[in-house]
Amino acid sequence: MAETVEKLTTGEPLTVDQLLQYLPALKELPRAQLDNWAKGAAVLHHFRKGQIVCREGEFGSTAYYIVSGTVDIFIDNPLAHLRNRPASRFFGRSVARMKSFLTSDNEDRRAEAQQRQFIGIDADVDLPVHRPLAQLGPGDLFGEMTCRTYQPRSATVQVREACVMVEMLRVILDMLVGNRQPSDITKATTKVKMPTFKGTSFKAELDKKYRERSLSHHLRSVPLFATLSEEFIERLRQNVELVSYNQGQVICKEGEDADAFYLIRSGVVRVSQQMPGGEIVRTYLSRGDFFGEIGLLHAIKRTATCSALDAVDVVKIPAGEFNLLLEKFPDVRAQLESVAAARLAGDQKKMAPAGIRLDDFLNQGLFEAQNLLLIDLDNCTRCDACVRACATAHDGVSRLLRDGLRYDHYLVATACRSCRDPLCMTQCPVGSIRRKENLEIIIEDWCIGCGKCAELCPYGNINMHPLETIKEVKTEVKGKEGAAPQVKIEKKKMTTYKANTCDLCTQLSVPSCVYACPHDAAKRVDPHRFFGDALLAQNESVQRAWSPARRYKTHHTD
Amino acid sequence: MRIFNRAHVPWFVFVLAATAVATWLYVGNFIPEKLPASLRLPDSLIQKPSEHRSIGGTPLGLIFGAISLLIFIFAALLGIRKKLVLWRIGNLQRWLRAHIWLTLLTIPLVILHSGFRLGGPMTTLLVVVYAIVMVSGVYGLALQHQLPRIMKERLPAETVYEQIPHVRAQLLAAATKMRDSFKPNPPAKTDAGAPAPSQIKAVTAGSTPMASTSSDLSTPVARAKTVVGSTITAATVSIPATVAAVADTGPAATSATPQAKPAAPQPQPAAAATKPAPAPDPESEVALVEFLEQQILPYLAAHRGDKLQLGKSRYSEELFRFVRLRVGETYRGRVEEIQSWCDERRMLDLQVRLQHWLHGWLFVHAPISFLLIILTVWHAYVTLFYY
Repeated sequence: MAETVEKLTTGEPLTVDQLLQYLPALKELPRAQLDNWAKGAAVLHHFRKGQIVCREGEFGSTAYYIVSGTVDIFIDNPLAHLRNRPASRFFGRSVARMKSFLTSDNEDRRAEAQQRQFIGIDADVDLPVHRPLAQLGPGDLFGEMTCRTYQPRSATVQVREACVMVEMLRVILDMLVGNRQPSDITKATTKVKMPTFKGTSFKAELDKKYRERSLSHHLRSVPLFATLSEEFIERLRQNVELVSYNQGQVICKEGEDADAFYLIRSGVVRVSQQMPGGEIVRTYLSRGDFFGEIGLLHAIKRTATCSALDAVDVVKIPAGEFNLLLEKFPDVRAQLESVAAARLAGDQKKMAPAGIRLDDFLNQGLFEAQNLLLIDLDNCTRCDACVRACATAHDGVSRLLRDGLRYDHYLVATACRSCRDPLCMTQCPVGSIRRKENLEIIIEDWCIGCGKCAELCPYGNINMHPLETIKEVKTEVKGKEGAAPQVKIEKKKMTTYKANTCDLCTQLSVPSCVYACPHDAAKRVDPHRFFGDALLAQNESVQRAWSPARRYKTHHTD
Repeated sequence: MRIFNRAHVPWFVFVLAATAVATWLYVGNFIPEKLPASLRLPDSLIQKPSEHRSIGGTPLGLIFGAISLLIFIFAALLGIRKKLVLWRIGNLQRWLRAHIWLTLLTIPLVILHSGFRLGGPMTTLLVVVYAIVMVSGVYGLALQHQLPRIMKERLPAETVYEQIPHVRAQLLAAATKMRDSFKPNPPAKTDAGAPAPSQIKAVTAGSTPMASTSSDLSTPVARAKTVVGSTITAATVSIPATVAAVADTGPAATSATPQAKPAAPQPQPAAAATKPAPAPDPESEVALVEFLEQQILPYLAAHRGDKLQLGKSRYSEELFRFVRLRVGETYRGRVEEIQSWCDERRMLDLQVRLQHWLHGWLFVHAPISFLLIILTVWHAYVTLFYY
């Protein structure tokens, strides 16, 4: 209990009876259970107009329920990605110093940047990409994923009209909406035995609200369904199932019949495939992403296993409805087919190159890499010219560290390599880091700079680039006696952060690290081709040496 | 820089051809009688050295000298080129190859320019300086050819050079922490004004016999062991003790280092959680404290670890074998942990030494090259305008 009190330092502590006033659904639970678990686990807040409830990127462990009033929920970080350009063209591009800039996809289109219309956040609303702002009102809940999985806050919440909110710990949330079964690993490691809560009518109420208010919006947020007619959306809204999965639970299994199409409402789904040598994680999908279309489109078995990485809520569109949709809307079918083809092509790329022993390759995650920075340790004189060149090319922030695992006589330096299991993608609160179909990692414009991906990358290949921006800050100024307080808007210089990975110096012809290496040690290679050829040659020479003809000849001459 | 590869072949051929041409011109000019008639130069191209003060003063000698000076200047530009990493004016590999082979070409050119004579004091000084530059350069090339391979083989868990002081400090901190964990609690003071003992100390003190400090480390060896699939772990790390020590210590280790962040959460078997911690053995602890204070801490704190006895791997092996026998069985994991720190420290010292060898020659080569250019320019100026 001491821990719970520490987590809720501000606000007015609620007794069980007070809590029941604000969240009457809890009355459905036995009183003893409430007395045992709910005491001190929720506080009441009275927020004034303009007050910030939470900021994007902040770490937290609580969810908020709005009792009265309205709030704005928005993304404050600039919607842009990092780009390097010559700072001055006086001496021409080749000799100019590089400088980092923030630029949006509208101005500087990147290949395969997502055409999303909405950003999924930790609330039952989606934010439009071009103006990421929405309102929440009485009866709304936000911060559920932060509360469950300790994700950073996905958006900034500012009070629009004076608000009363209940801030709750996970135990209250579990009581309200039911708790998910922890995975076997969690069960083995945790000492705390939590009771099982089945949830209250609050969950049904939330689902109902979601179905009424947000589902059509959510369906429309998927680019594929953007063209559906109102009446079909209405039909889907009535017929889809809202399903929840526990951590580790399999949603659909590779090789099984395809019976539904899924749209992720919250949580992260892990997509994996069985390969000779072990399971390969294909990708992670988050809110707004979809899966299960390949099996339905081609009437084949599931091509991958999708499982819940944490508590996952999905919108399940049964096969019948999905097929009807395809019949009625041929353009949706065409788009789905192109997505499915790209995903299948991506799967093909992941087939092992001939001549490579999978166990060697898999263990270091080299198998999945598209483009590795290798440093030949037989040539490298540890002069760090590559690191200096990287820093010079990226405004003083190096994206390369001459350290890492060794493979053969190469050092696999820290530069993004599209891991077998891209952990960096598992906890992004706004789903802005994702994998392209060619497996390259891309960070979308709506990165809020929380640094979770950089923290999760096991190889330190993602770094946070600080940039100076001008932001409008609202401050409340007390009016003269009796007058209402006024909101003053000031422009302030602030430092914002954007996650970034190696960009292969696309603005220059050759990656700077490779160009600057005087000893021919740094190489940017396609590992499939590079190691494939090497190992194939090695295998062939071994085969030749041990071929029956050779052995016969050897014995014969002996 | 590996010099025996295909990229160097054109340069090698070029230098041989240029040397042959220069020699032919020299012999054809100054000792034509040594050449077969078919290879002799036309009379119009031949100048007698007697018409000039020396061979270097002839037009051909001047050409050899001027080319050499230009090559010296070009070679010096490599240092500037290295600073301008974003300039797309030929990658650095090409520049370095040109630097190596063109400067090697200056050997025949300088010899032919001098006419196989040292000349006066000025030219003798010039030749000495030139010899230092060339010898240091060739020596550096040989080192950079060989040492990377040696480093690859002998430094399996090599770290970034600039990080070495930090890693050393970590090793020392870990040893100090272990020493403190074995020391008995100081008697409680009754002084009301004394500050309260910190929470962390309360956890680490009190002689937890199996408390491990290894999980605090982020040293190369520790990393090499924790990263799955590293070839380092499988093949070349000769210190598998730390992992075993941590595994032996079980729950006590994790409780003693609450701030340690494991690389990946590993489920602990339920039975392990209930396993009682072994009883402390004061005799072993005293022995370990003595060993840490007298041998390990001075070694880990030393600026030059290789100067101490523990810097020698054979001595270290023997010493640790002896210490293992001296302490109780439950403390052997800790001894192995300490040994792994010493092994790592030895490896770091070796890395520092090899790094110094790898780049130390530049401290002679670069400034003397600069001096060579100044002296050569002065030599050219003096000989052209005063003789």
